[in-house]
Amino acid sequence: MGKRLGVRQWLALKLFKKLRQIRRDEHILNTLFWECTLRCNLQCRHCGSDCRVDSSVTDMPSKDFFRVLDNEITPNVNPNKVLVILSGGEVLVRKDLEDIGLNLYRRGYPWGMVTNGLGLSRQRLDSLIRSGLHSITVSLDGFEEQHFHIRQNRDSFKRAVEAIKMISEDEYLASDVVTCVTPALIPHLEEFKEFLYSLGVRRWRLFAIFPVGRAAQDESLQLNDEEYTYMLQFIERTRHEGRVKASHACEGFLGGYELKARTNPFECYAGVGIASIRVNGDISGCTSVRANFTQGNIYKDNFWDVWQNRFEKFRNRDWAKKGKCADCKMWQYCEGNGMHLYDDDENLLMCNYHRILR
Amino acid sequence: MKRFTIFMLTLLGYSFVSCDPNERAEIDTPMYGAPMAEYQENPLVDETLTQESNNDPQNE
Repeated sequence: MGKRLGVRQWLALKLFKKLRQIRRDEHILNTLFWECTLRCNLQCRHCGSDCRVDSSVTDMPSKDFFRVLDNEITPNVNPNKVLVILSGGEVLVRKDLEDIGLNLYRRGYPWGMVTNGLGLSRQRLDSLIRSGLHSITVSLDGFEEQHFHIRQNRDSFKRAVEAIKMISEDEYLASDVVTCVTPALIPHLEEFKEFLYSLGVRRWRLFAIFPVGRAAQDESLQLNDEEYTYMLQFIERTRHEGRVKASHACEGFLGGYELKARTNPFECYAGVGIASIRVNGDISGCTSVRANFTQGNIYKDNFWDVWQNRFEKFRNRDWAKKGKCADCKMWQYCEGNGMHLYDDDENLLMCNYHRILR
Repeated sequence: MKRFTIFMLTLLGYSFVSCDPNERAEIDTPMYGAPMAEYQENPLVDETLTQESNNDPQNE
């Protein structure tokens, strides 16, 4: 265990390497993020949307989004198989969320959202479900003390917990919880897992906060390599128990923890199966990817033309084979980690593999 | 042919690792995303709930 690949992992990764290339060649759109607002009802220390949240930025009018969806996307996809994820900011601040959701549902798109839960009352959740909500994620970063340290709002823990209880009980919703793991939570991960289980949570994504913007300067948010390795071991143990499906999601290549800390081998789907429309109309991969990887703008370009003919940097990662990656033996499986881990100068901010202790 | 190749590679890949068969078709949820879901009709959806969002003056 640790950094080294086992024989079975090595063989599996070799095979998945071929699959990855096929997926890149096909680039079938299966997830569309719409960053519908940058407004937020919290001021988190690490700031969710890449420290870019600016409440002065105007929300994108829904008619602009639906123009692109109707004219440029729907004719080229099976809407039933493209999940539209509304992201922010905090999406619940949009009063027309139900209108947007219902319009997506009418067009046959499943839709989902990510929320801090602060504004998710029983009444609001019911109205979202009546608008065709399919999938929802609530952020909870630990017990009250750890959650407050990040979210900086005294009501946020209680409201997020109430939201999690509600979404976990609903039979129509695909739901999970996302946790930004901080050093203060590490000693409490086991009891926090039991707490989530008692709330009804069966899917749980655990991240480390990546070092950009304000978060990079704040030691209370950054795991050291020992803590990071412990978190991966914890995820593996939890998956093995089988009660809560924990995952490190697409955070990066994990060496000996591949296929143990998540379901699938590492693959960055940004620009391969995932596109986003930013609040200013920019077209990119995931919303977590930096601005200089923008591929076009819906106010100037045809979305489908951009999706089909651009995104070269997302689908051919030769440009990333530099610095630490240039001579790395894991390059063939990792290809430079997730696109969200690159800074504006296209340098890798963090390598998950190199953080793992032997 | 391509579909068959994808299927075979997936099957072979997972045969080398210990993995719950029910998870095989599952895509990992992206970092900022919500869990993957395919469209399904929901009897709770209320078509009369709202007006067309395109006419919503709030975001004009």
